[in-house]
Amino acid sequence: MLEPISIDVASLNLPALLPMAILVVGALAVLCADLAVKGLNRSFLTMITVLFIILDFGAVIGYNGPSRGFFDVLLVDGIAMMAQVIILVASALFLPLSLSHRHFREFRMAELYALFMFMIVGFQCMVVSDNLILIFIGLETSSLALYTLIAMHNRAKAFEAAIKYFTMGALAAGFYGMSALIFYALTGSVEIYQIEHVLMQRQFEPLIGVLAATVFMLGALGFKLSLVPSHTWTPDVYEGSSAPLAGYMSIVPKIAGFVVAMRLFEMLVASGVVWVEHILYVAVVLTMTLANLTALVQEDVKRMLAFSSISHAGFMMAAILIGTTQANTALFLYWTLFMFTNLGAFTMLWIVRHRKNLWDERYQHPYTKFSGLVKIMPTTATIMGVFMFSLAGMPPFSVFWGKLYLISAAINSEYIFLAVIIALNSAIAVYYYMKLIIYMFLKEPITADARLYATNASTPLKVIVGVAVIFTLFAIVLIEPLLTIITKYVTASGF
Amino acid sequence: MEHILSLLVFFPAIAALLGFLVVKESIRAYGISVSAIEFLLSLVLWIGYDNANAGYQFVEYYPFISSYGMSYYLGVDGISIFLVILSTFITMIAFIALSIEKEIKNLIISVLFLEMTMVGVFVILDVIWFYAFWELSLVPMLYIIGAWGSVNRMYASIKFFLYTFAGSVLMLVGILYMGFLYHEATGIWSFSLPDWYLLQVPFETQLWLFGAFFLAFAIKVPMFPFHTWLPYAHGQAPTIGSILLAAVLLKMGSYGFVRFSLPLFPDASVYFLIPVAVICIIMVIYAAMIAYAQEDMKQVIAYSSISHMGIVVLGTFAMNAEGITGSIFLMLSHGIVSGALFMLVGVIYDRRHTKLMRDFGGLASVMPNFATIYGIMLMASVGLPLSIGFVGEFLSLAGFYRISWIMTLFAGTGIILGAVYMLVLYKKSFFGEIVHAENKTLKDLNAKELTALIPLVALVVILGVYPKPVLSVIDMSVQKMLVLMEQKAVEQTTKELIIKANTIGGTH
Amino acid sequence: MENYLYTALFAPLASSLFVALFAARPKMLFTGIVASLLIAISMIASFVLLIDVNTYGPLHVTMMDWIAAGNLEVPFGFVVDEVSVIMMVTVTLVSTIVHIYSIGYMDHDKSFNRFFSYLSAFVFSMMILVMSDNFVGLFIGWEGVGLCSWLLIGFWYHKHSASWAANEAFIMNRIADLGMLMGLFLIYWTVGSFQYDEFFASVKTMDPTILTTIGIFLFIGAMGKSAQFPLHTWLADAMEGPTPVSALIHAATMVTAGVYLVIRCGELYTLIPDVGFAIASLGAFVAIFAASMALVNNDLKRIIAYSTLSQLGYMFVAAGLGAYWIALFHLMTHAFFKSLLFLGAGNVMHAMHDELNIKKMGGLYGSMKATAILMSVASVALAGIYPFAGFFSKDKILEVAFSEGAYFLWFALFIGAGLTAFYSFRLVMLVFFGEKEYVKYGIHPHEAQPFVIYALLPLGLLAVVAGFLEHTFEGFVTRLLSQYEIHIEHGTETLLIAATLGIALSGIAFAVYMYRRGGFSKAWEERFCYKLLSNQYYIPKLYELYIMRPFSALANFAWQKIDTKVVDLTVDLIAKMVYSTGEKSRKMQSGNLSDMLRWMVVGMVVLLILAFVYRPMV
Repeated sequence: MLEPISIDVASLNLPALLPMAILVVGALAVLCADLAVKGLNRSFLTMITVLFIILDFGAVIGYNGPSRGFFDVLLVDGIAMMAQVIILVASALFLPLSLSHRHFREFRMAELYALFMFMIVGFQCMVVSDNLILIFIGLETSSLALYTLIAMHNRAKAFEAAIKYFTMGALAAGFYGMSALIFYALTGSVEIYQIEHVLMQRQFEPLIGVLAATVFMLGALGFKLSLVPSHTWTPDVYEGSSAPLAGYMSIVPKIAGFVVAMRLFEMLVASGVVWVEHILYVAVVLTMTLANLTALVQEDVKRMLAFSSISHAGFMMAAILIGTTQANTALFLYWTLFMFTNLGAFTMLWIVRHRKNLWDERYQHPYTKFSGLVKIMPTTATIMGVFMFSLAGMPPFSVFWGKLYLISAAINSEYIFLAVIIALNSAIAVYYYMKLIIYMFLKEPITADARLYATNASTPLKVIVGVAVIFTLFAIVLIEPLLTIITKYVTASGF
Repeated sequence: MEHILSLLVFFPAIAALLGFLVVKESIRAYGISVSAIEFLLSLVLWIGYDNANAGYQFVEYYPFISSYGMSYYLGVDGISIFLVILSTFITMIAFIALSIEKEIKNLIISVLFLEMTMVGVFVILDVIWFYAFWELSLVPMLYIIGAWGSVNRMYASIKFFLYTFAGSVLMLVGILYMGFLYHEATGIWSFSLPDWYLLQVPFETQLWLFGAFFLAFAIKVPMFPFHTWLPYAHGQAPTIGSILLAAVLLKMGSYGFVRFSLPLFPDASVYFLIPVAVICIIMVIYAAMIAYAQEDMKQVIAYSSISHMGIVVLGTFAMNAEGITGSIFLMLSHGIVSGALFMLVGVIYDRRHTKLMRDFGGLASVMPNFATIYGIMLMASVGLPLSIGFVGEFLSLAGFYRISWIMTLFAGTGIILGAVYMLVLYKKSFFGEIVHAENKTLKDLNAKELTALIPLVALVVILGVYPKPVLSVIDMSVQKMLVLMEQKAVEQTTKELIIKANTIGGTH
Repeated sequence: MENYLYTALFAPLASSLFVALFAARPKMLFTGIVASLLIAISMIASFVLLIDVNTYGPLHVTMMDWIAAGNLEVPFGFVVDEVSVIMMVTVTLVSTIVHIYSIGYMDHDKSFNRFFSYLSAFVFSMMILVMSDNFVGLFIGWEGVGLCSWLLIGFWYHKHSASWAANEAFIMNRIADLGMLMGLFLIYWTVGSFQYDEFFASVKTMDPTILTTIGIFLFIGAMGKSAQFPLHTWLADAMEGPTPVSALIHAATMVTAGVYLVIRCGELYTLIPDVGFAIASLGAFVAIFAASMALVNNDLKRIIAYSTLSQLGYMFVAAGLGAYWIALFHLMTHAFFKSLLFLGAGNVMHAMHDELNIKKMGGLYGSMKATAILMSVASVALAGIYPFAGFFSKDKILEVAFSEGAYFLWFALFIGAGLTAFYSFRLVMLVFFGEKEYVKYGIHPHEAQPFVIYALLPLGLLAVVAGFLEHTFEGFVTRLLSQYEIHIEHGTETLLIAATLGIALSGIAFAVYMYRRGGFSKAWEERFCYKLLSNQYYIPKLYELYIMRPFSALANFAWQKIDTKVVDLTVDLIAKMVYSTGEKSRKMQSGNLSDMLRWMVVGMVVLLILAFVYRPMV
């Protein structure tokens, strides 16, 4: 005899759902509007979307209910907050890149904006939950939206990229499923905190099962975070998709992935599963180093940036491996700073994008394209230089401070060797960033025609670059406030 | 006088930014005047400096990442003040002598940025900021060498940049570890050097940290076998680049030894004393021999720099006031002398577009003033008494004699070999008959070059005859540092060595 | 009195700087005159000081601080005592004469002004050398004279040989200076000061091994300046310089600085007789070694240079055996007659249009009597014939050697005396008497300007009478320097004197006899010993072969092989290695989808296997 299940609506704590809800509504609204009015201008669509994102942002910031909600599948804790903030800010900054000087087909389509918002919802789901199923839903929502967005760029390369991304994504999803399944089999729960609880009780027996689950999870997240050896998609996909989307991919999906990784792996590492620690260690070192080495030999700036973002992700995994509060703080600090720099770098690529591959039939942004840029467009060259130095971790530009904090986090928890590896890697990395600077500042220009470079420039883009530059140059004054806030949230959520 | 140090550091940077608005035609005048003002500021600093006080002066302290113990912390003492003045002075002189026309605006702006980093390195007392300036100084130099250099400039500039950068990343790790240790010991985060001075580091740890810092400094100095970037850099760099590189940038490394390695890790410094000394001796002899083998006048001077820096570092590791004061003075004198020599090479290069000695010969008869000034600088470089070169060399060697007489003897061969390559250079280029027709019509130094060179000559003589005002200031701070080292040393042997090194008489 | 001291010291500097103003200009007579005047003033001041010291005793002033660091303090301090004042007088006297002489000698040289500037600078450095009251001050002068000698030897820098000789001299001296520096450092770390008085005050109580080391180091310094074996080669080559320079620097003053140093450190060397004896032996060896080379040489100036060398040997014998005042006395007398000899040689050179080969001269007596007489006087003095100056000083040295029981040294010097007499008169005969060889070369010799000759007269006079000052001199300098008693009973003494005179005279007689009859037969020149001597015992060749060549070979090796091929290549290789690993890892990036998937799966499988096989303790 079944009891009818009755739930008190208040206990559902629906406000926790509000942020996601806003964007869903927004997406649907955009679609309807598109049906109603034909040929809505991209500027309108962009701005509407940005507005919805802002609303969402407000909802996220404004939320001050209990951390659990909606059948306790939602977990709105500190890191969730921070991750969402980063996701939303990044989205709001990257989307306006659609307002470039030249018109691209995809940006005229309302679907793009709807998908964009759905994607954000997906990412948010990933970070505000510790329920493997909800996370999975979020993961898939976002991924599927992303595949489509890539494809919408509507170039042969774009399709190729989408297909590759999609196929590997599918495999990764499989892994994820396996892992979740094993965890459930072991513990009878899909809630990370309960999994942890149960595993603790049983001292992680049967270990082999735990390890298997971990391995699959590593495979799944490894794909999202492009850890070696699941990183191979990154350069091709970045190259195929438009610069704004590539830049976006280098930031947002990763932060979402990091949060999941933090929730899961730090639990395991912290609770003393040495094996996981070692595996992570190896993965981290491999990711950083291999990506750096491969980046050295790239001829195309975009591909180079792809590899660089892989190695940066490696640094972040190092933070997760270390797992102390300082490390997690470092992770968010680093990623915030990295976001602005990468935003700038990719926007620059977007600005200098040219319809035809004038400089190299294979690549769109070969190094040679930038030779002697300082003589043609001094400001552009200088700004690009600043971003490169920042990525290289040259003080006092933004990323340096993140790196500084990360390395010291490593040292303070006695991961000296890791610290040295990170340091050496940044020494290697400096070469490929500098290569671009060498081309821009030291080589003689091939063409003196400035117009070839500014084809895609427009006021919005310039504004965004300006924002990025300011944050990159004067990051030094942001560090203190950022640190305080981040530390507060991280400690609050017990990481 | 409150914020004079901040002013000194950032005035050139601000001037550089404003420089973008100055038209190309008058940018050179702009550069000269800015650097002149900067130089005057540094003189004001000296005037305001209290010679009776060995500690840090004009201190400015603002915490800026207090949660992590970082602060904006400036101050000068006897060890750094003259290096600051040297930097500003040399920059000014280099601008006066500047003869480049191409892209001159970018050049001047980047040199001004470089000046900021140079001054910053010497006056900053927060280690993170020190690292920032240290690394930042590479960027303008990369540009200067790479954009205005000669044929092989790309390779040279990349090598310079990567080598130095790679050398210093481990220093960053060392710095952060040091901060960690400080936090462990005191429970508070701090990256300010004066705080660190008070920290006693366990012996084993000292060895590692010493190594981490050593690599960065050794590459900068440059010490054998990390020196190979220098000949390329000098060979390719434009005159102004070489002047600044030799006169100031190399000093950052040797300054690092005095400022960091010794007081932070006294035991390690003593522990590694002999190996370091051996490297120095190799530098002195080996570089001098290579200098002798060169055909390119500029390369001779480049290698001679390595040879002289060997004596500098040797003096630093003498662990006594004589040696360290001497080595700091030698930094100054080498800055002035090598700067002048590179400038002179630039003078002849502008006229003949070659630096090969075999293309010259008999210059003394066509360019008497040039030959005279060259001769004076040459004699200063071989350390002739009453020239600036003698004082530092004499003190450094005298200081190290206390540590080991036989090593001093080997290092002392530098004064012989130095004479050998320098006199040979002079003979090949200035003496003998004029064999090449194009040398017959060479113009002697013009007004611009004389204005740049005569102050250097004056300094060479004045500081050679009366170095005391400079020495005494340096000496005070050095003695203070030695006392500190002796106090914080954890090993008894270290204490004994430092005491022995600073007392007359007793066993040898 | 301090004013006199500063006048004596700085008048030469003033002269040098003043003349330097016109260095680049064509000849200006007044520069020479002003220079000579200022040097003369310095000389007068020195003489005043001589009298003053004689009446009131030494004078010691500290002008200003120089170097100060840690415990080390070096002032610019000057002392005028019995020894230094003698040196000052000698130096300034000879310098004045040389300056005046040079006005005539350098008459036609386009760098007339530059010459006087250098020459005065030299005098200044020499004055610092002798007047300083501490070792570092001495070292200033020491290096200063080195610099000036470099400038002056290479004065005619367009001549390759000249600039080469200049560099040789400077570098050889540098080698010795290193030894000296080491000595100074040791002194500093033992005494804590470089002041003579403080040092000598503490030598009594010092550990003998340290004393010995100091003694050796300082003497190494002396060997360089005084061109003692094996650092002697530069002196003969230094004759490339203008003759007045040879007279002043390479005969009268600078080369005796080494002897001065040993005399100055007498209190040190008396405590370490072994070192002293070593010095004496080296001196005796050089005395005869140099003399032997002078026997066969045909170069007018080189002959005199070798004789200088051998005379320096004599001085070192005296100094080494502790007869410091005698060494100083010989130093002084030698300065007079040797500079006279050189200046005379200068006249001859002018007359012969810079021809130096004495075989091409002969019979010059006819055309240049005054010079001939002066040079003969000088030669007699050099040969040590009573009553000329050389007799008194040199003979004393032999007596010292004898009374010290160093009969072997005595014998060497004895032979040396004979050789000296022979080569001096070989020179005189070949130059002034015999066949007029120069006619073959169409040269019309002429006597130097009268004022030049007059300038030489004082030297000539001193060469004759200086010897009679012996006892006043002894009385004066032994106030500072240790007394020296010669213990030989009167009979032997007279015997010795007679013997020495005998061999000297016979040497002269032999020379006169031989060269009256046209000298030795050509056959001699084929003999090995002749070749050996005329090639200076092949020593320069040895240095060339076994030091200079290997050095430059090694230097090239270090540069082209080690530095570029090893050190630098390693750096580049590391970079290349990193880069090439990049190239390899790139292969992973095939862009082929199935490869990508494979990679992922492989990764997973590896991890799963690991999960089974690799189980560190949980």
